[in-house]
Amino acid sequence: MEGNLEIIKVENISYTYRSKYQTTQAIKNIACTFETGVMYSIIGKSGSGKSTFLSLLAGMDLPSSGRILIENSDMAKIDRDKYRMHQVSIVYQAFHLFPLLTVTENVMFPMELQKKNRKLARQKAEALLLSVGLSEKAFQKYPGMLSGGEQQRCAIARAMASEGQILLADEPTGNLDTENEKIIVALMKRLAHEEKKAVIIVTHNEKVACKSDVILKMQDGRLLEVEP
Amino acid sequence: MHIAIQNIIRNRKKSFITVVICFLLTAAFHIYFGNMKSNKEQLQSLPERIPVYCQITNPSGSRSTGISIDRNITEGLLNSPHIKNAVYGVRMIGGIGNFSLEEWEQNLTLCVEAVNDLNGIPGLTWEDIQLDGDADDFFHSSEPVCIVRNSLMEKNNWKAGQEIPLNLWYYDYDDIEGIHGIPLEVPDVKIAGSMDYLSTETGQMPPDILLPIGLADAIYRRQEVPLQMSFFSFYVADPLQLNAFKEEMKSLGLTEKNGTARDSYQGSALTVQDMVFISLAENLQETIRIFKSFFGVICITILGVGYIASTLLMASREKEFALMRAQGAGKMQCIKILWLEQLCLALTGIIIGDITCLAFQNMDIALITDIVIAGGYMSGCTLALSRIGRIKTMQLLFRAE
Ligand SMILES: Nc1ncnc2c1ncn2[C@@H]1O[C@H](COP(=O)(O)OP(=O)(O)OP(=O)(O)O)[C@@H](O)[C@H]1O
Ligand SMILES: [Mg+2]
Repeated sequence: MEGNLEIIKVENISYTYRSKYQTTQAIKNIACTFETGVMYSIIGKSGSGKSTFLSLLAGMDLPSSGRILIENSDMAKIDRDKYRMHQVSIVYQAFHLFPLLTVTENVMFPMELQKKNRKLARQKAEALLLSVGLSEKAFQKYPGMLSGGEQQRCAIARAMASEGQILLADEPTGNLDTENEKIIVALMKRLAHEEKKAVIIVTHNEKVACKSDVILKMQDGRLLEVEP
Repeated sequence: MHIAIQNIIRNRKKSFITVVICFLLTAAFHIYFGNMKSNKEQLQSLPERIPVYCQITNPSGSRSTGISIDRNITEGLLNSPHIKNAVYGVRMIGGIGNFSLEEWEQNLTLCVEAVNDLNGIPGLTWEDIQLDGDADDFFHSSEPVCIVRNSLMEKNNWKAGQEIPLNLWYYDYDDIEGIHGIPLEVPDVKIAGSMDYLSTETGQMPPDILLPIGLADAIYRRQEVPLQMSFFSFYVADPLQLNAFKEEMKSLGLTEKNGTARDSYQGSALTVQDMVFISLAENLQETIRIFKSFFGVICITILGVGYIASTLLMASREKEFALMRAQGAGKMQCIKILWLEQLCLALTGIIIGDITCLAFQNMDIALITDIVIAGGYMSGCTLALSRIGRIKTMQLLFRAE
């Protein structure tokens, strides 16, 4: 697409989980590119390696072989802490909110790491929370007191807070009712098309996948086909 | 930093546990160090509380007075750095004025004793003595002065300040003849004071006339008679060096008393009343030794407890750690936050422990304790944190749930 930046380039990566008792090759030779301004969906069976792929894109670890280029620089060579802080944000399948921080503070956290003004951060956090459909009542609650869907929306708000160019979301609509699902998908789409982010979501939901611009399918650690 | 404090407050329960653990460790350590210190102090003060008393006796230990102590032994003892508060004296017999040798039986009726200290006369106290001038000076003088029993003063109608001709005989001890008196000198001595005491508990005949030992020494020298003390007792200067003391006593020719030795008047044995001292000192030293040998164990225990406690408390924070990392916080930054948090808690616990224990302990111990515990706990904590730091963020966050 025109005007879009090719922000991530994946070059034949593989990834193997090594634990004491077994090794699992979760990613096998994936190559693809991601552009800003596009919303991608990754679909695939459970255990096919979607979350693993996403976390590699998020720079949580380096691939066992192959490389990932972020704006043409090798992920292995850049400061991945900075990359995570400024360029990429992620919504986890299991939300992973800070249990000891309130909803608002959770959303403020990435901004505080970026050393933004606290007051502005709070305002922005509250705006983001409203935009994902959370009510003010929830702001001062702890994540443990929220429903799954509410936690998920809080996690999405936190991911949007860091203003990185890449937004990764693992099953962002998994716990939502149809109405909230629509809100979130619309939000994601707006982020991709208007704020020119590269939005990559993992989903099981056909409807959600269909709304995205590009659908990628994973099977047994491989990227099968790219459906336009 | 403010994140650390926020965590402490939000993690109330765990924070509290950490504080309590550090508090308990501090208290335990205080007790340990406090005990060790008080034992050391007891050992140091033992010589004062339990002085070691020594007496020269005859070889069988049956007599401690009326014996004859060789001049060399006396001098050796007086020059020794190991003894203090020596009390010694010589007992003589005396009469008034000149009389011929044959008349001794009627005339030699007085018991005369020259001592260096009032303690040399059992049963006699300063209250029994009326003396012109400084009482202490009397025993340190070598002037011809004496203190006379009141009854004797009255009998002879003597007045204080008067000079009397004192016919002095000294005792000679001889294995063949036993005890016998030999004329010494007839000095004129001034009556410096009088004394009045009824009886002594020892059953020993109380002296009629007291002389300063310096005077006796001068007279003996004049007559070229070796001055042999009749009794000699003292305290060991530093009982903690009992062995060095005993070595020196041996070199002076003093033997240990031996119950089977033949009865004699020879003052050549030494009785050291050190049983109580030795057993107490040994007890204390043993206790201190045990305490010291536990030091390593205790340090390791603290390190271990610190490590286990912080590992357990940290285990639940793994996810938090990974999450902070995932949001882009650096590894060191994350470790720093948690480390600071633990440090604050540990210090709080330690300080509370200090304050609690300060009532019966002093500050220098507190400092050692603090350093050891803070060091122990925090190094355990650091280990636990570095372990967490090594875990891959990815494995924590993407573990199938
Ligand atoms: N921490 C881990 N350690 C070892 N193996 C792992 C780990 N996480 C995932 N795996 C394995 O890697 C493979 C891919 O897992 P992944 O979580 O990427 O699948 P997924 O496509 O996200 O599945 P789901 O749709 O259920 O979320 C699986 O076989 C899984 O067992
Ligand atoms: Mg997954």
